Amino acid sequence: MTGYIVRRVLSMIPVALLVTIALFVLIRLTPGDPVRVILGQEATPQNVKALRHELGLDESYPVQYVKWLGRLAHLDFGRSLASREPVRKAIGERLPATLELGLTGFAVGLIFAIILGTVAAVWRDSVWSRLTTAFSLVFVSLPNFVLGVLLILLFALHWRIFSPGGYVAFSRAPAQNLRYLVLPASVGAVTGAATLSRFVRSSLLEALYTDYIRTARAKGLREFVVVARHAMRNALLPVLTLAGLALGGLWEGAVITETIFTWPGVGRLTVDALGRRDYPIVQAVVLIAAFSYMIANLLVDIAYAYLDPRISYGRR
Amino acid sequence: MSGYDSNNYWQRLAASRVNRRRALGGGAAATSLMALALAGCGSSNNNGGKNNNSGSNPPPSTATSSGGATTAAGTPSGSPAAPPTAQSINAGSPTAAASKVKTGGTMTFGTSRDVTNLDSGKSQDVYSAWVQAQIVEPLFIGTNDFKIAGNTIDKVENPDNTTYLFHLHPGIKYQDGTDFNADSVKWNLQRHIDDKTSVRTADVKPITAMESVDANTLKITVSAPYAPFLSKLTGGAGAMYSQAAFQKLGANLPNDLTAAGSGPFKFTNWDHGNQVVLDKNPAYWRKDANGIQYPYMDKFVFKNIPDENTRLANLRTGDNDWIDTPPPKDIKSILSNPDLVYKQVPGLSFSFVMMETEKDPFQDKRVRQALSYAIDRQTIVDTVYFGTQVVADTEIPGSLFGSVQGPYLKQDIAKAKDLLKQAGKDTVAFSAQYSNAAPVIQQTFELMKDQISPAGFNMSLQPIEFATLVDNGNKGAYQAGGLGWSGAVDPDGFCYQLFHTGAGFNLAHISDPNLDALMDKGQQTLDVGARTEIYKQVMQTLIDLQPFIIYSWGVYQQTTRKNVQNYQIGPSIWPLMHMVWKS
Amino acid sequence: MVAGERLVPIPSALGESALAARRKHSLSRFIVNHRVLSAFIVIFVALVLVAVFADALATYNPTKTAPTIKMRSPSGAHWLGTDYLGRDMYSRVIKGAQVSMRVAVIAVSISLVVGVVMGLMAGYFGGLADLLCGRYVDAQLAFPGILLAIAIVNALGPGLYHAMIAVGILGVPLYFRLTRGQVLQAKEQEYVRAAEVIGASRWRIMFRHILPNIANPLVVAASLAGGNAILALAALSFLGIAAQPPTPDWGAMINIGKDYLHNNMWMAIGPGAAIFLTVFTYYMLGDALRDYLDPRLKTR
Repeated sequence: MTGYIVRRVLSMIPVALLVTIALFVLIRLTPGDPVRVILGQEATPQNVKALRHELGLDESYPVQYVKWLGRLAHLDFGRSLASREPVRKAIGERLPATLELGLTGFAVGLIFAIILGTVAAVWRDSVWSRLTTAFSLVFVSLPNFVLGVLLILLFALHWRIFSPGGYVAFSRAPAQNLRYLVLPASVGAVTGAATLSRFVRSSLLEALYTDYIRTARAKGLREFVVVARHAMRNALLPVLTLAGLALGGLWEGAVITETIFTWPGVGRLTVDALGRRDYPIVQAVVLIAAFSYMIANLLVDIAYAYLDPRISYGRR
Repeated sequence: MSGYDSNNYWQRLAASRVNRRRALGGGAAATSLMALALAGCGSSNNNGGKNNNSGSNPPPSTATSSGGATTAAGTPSGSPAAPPTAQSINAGSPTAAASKVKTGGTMTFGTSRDVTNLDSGKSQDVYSAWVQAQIVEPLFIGTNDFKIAGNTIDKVENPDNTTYLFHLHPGIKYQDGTDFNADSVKWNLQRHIDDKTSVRTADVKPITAMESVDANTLKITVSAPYAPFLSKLTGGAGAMYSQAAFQKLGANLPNDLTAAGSGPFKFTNWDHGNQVVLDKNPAYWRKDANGIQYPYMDKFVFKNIPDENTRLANLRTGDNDWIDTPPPKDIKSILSNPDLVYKQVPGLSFSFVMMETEKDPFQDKRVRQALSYAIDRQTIVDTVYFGTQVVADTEIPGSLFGSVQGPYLKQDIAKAKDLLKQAGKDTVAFSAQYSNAAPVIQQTFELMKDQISPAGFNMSLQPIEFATLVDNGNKGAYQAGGLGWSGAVDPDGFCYQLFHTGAGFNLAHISDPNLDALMDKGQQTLDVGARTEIYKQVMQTLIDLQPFIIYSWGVYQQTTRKNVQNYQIGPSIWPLMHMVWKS
Repeated sequence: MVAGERLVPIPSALGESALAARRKHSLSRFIVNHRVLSAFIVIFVALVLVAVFADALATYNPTKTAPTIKMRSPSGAHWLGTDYLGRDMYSRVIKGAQVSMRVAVIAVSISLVVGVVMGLMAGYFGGLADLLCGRYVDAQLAFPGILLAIAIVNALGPGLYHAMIAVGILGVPLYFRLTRGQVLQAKEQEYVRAAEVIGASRWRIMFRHILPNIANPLVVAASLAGGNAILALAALSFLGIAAQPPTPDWGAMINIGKDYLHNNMWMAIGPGAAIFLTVFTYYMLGDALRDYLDPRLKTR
């Protein structure tokens, strides 16, 4: 097992390098000059030259890349080109908001997904199954920005139950924070429930047709026990995989939700930074997202190796 | 307001389709700048206090009331915006408004963009400037009638054309307790001279020497007469920092202005992407006529809400008191909402189509002129802006001296075709780039595409990111493009940086020796009458060359809840925020 | 989609041959047995027809502006009202079907071709091919998808076709993993062993023997991926970097329409309903196809 983990971790190194190179090249392929954006309309050519030098953008790409990697080795993400704020601080400030929104939406979505998916699989041909399937297909087919806008229109403008958008830190005003949280978290929860419930359904269906379930049924176990104790345990493994991966790429959906609901999280920071060509911030965020995805992947694989003895991890 | 045709400008604004009485209420606000601004100082010039516009019930206004009040406010007639003898707003009369003022409370202002950098030497965006103006006050302000007035400067003397004597308002202290004095101003200006990465180097470039005559008098010598000089000190280079605080903040300055300036509000915190919170500076140096300490508000919050509909929704629900630019399409519904107030006055900006004049097809000025004739500006303003902009075809707005009207205001397809024929073309195909983050520009170009096609223009649209657009513009990697420009309270700010050979934002890459000479002369001439004539010639040259096609002038818009009182509309809104209160 | 036509009887393709009677019989039986599948095949074909005959179905020129009649509610003259420049929303929505169909076909083809070829090679050859492809896909999956798409589109220059390429690239890992997994299973099957024994070339085995036998899950995935592609492109349009105006693209129409929900909600409702219906159809079709093609799930 230890050997497997070591091999698995070592195999991440080339992937990580590939990610850093692709990221670095892709961002610099994108036309647009951060210095021009920072200096604005009154800039003189001398200003542009001086600032480009100060920010180290006049060096060749390979040199910039190597310097960046060197700093990364010390976990130093550099400073934002625009605000000169340390990138680590910029992201650190926004992370709680993104995590709060993302995790709430995700957790609620996962719970609903399991309930709906189970209903759809167990009572396969019932009206309930059709309804839950319809629910998931309807909301999977609905772009999340349309859903967000609809929620604002109904709950904030028409009925005035919630605020149309905004944020205060939970530590500062918990009640107010939750009031702001409900609508954007609902978007995440509904989308998550719709997506994941389909996988719960299909993997539970698959599990229900395996031999050991037939054996369990043949032994005369009650259907509830069969589903809850036997099928569910196996069915949830792939679901948790997917959930783990979804968690790794959590902030992705946040890009649009955060924009609509003016939630000051990492997603919006990235889109803003990309628009300003604030390379250090974009690079740091993407890298963190990529690494968290890779680590989630690793943990899922390790969990698999522990949980499912049928999977062997010898050399291929 | 002599020397140029302001009537035409106002008529065009009045012709806009917005409810005129309410929308133009701000016109009167412009007149009362002096009266309001003077409240704190109690000297006895009574000319200015003509009316007080407290926001909720603007009186009807006309062009003459605006012009008249301007003259009454103390500037010698015939020399509007005379830079060498800028009047201080500190020499004026009390206003009656103060008696019913309610102090305290929090003002929440919804902005469309977050602050980028709090160091005025490193940022140029208005959102950063708005916050800076509250903390690090500028030396001068642009008044609502587009002149320069002293803010922390009482008087400016010009012993000769290249010497300025700044008489500072005595007794002002920075928030860290250090003195605002001649040495401090000198240090502030020097930092932009020394720091080559400062975006303000161009503003202070003419300075050759500075000398503290006494604690409150600074003598500045410039290399050659430079008319726009004081207008450059209304923000940015004119924002004054305490040297001690500046050095203490060090590398944090872009993100932290704690005790940095002498302004009415103190920096509390900047929650990036979310809000900037400012608290009242209880030791601010201004009091109103009744002795009440400025600022009236306890707290000022700039809340960043990028989505315009969410922003407006926040205003409707009362989560915000005041918002940045409202969506043009919603102005009608804002005007009909009894809880909300909308006002607009002529602004200092324009929207334009730029053309790369070094490349086909726009090398030939006749093609550029043809395109300009082919555009139906009125329909664009009516359809896309819902009448909230001013139809225009030249750079310098009507409210500034030097403004003229060109021949392109009315669409003329026949003339466009004729010019194309002269240029030896039947049809011209080109692509136009514009920022994909600007829906109104996109709509403008979609409309324009149909408008110009009968003349033989086949335009394809290329929405791209703003950063790419500016980059392409600088490199000349485009044929035509759409952008906006906001200038300063000086006609120089509407042409030099855009059209002078080699200037920093000459995206059209136009180079015309005659035009260069005219703009140089405009900078070096101090007499306003003479400058007016020079800039008229500049405009005539640009009308002929048409490197940019101007299609509208912008307006200052303010959208507030009804209880927001006593704010300015125009260039002076941000430096005079200390007088705002909530009923 | 070629494989799909072979597997799924499309009603209109059936007809006048001598076997017509028998076919008719089997067709009606098919419809009765697979009501959901049949219904969504019909809807899907209808969508394709709308896209093909969009120009004939449009009542106005979808890009012609008419400022004097902007933002009108639905009426007899304009069935879905008009947009902010007075363009007929019904015609734009209809014409948008063409755009979205192109997106689905082109983007999915890119993902399908690249993903399947990579998956076949990685699965069948193993070794270095598997390592390289696997690492590439790992790296791509590690990238946040929407940001990768934005970066690709910006690097290529915004525009509909570049956006389709970006969306196509986003879908590659799905097909890669699916194909590779299937190939690994198929490799152990007897028909592959038999082909190897008689000396068939490895490419021939991959494309002539293995590929047809793993086509079913790919068809299902293609249908689901069509929906994904349309949604992904809508997200790019929402961020303003996909279709070039005035091309009537549903995502772009919703993007602007969402700003006008208070003023004229029809500007968002028309394209919103269209995109929803289309994506829904793709997903339902995929779901129904899976149930139909997967014999294990068909029992009971």
